[in-house]
Amino acid sequence: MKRREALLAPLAIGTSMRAWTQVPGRIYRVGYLGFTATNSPADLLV
Amino acid sequence: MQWLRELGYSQGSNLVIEDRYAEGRMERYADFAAEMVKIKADIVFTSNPTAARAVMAVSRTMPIVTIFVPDPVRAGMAASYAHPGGQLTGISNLGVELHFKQLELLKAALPRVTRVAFVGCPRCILASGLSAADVAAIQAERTAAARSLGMTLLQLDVDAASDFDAASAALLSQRAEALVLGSTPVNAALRDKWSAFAEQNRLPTMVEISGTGMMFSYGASLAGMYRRAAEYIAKILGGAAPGDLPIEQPTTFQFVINLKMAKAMGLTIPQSTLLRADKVIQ
Repeated sequence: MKRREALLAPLAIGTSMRAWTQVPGRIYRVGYLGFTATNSPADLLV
Repeated sequence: MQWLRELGYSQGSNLVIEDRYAEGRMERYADFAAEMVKIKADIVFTSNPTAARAVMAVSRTMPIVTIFVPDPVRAGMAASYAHPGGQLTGISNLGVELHFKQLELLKAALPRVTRVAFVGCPRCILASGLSAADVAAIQAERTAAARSLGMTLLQLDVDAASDFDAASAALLSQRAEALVLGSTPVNAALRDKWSAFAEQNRLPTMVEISGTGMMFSYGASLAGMYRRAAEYIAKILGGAAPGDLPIEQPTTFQFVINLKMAKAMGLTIPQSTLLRADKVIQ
């Protein structure tokens, strides 16, 4: 039952956010705090 | 992390992922949060409000992208949905509205069911910043939602993995006919136990996330949320302030029925309900 919630439209993130810029050569460190290792984004998406 | 890769961030190149899991012991989030500060994480992505609150407790500047936060404004994590204003943004979930929909679908699938149990984690909600009064209000809203569908709702608290035995015994003694599991860190850690319990006791079970071995699931598309979260992360790594990025609510939901499991329990799901499902597992 895929549906669009019209009432949520005002909350939609602006897609015209300023351009993202990466710093060349920089290593970015992202922490992930999850429920269980068997339900991680890696499990779901890779 | 596939979505981050598509956005130009890949492990082994310009990205290091530091993942930590509570495995049912949400008190571990405090240590994990402190560790994130120590290792100077650029951003923390969390799957739940308890973890997000733990990060906020140790740093008021570390950017946080989160999913599955029922009401970040009510919890004091953000000033508003449109302009969070602080260090946190991401995707909230629908809270009681979601549970209402789950109950409604359960009723449609199993019209004779009138006694349903909801297993939540009040301690998790308190840890996210809501008050005891908020918890009571949420529980009352949930009970009212069930009543409006002609159901009696039994609400059981599983605040720690050690509560499982008492909760499962209560489910049987109170003759619950179906079960709704809240998306909590504790229930996630108990997933296999709940799955085995539901099967042994022929208890139709509804969860939010599909693919967890339960008969029904209804909730936002997890893959969609992770994809959106990756976009938030990329924007913040690229210089955007989390407080400037509106908090979204999910817009795409999926209803999945494990018909094979229903048949094994001798249950017949009405065709009209099967047609409402996005996916029917045969």
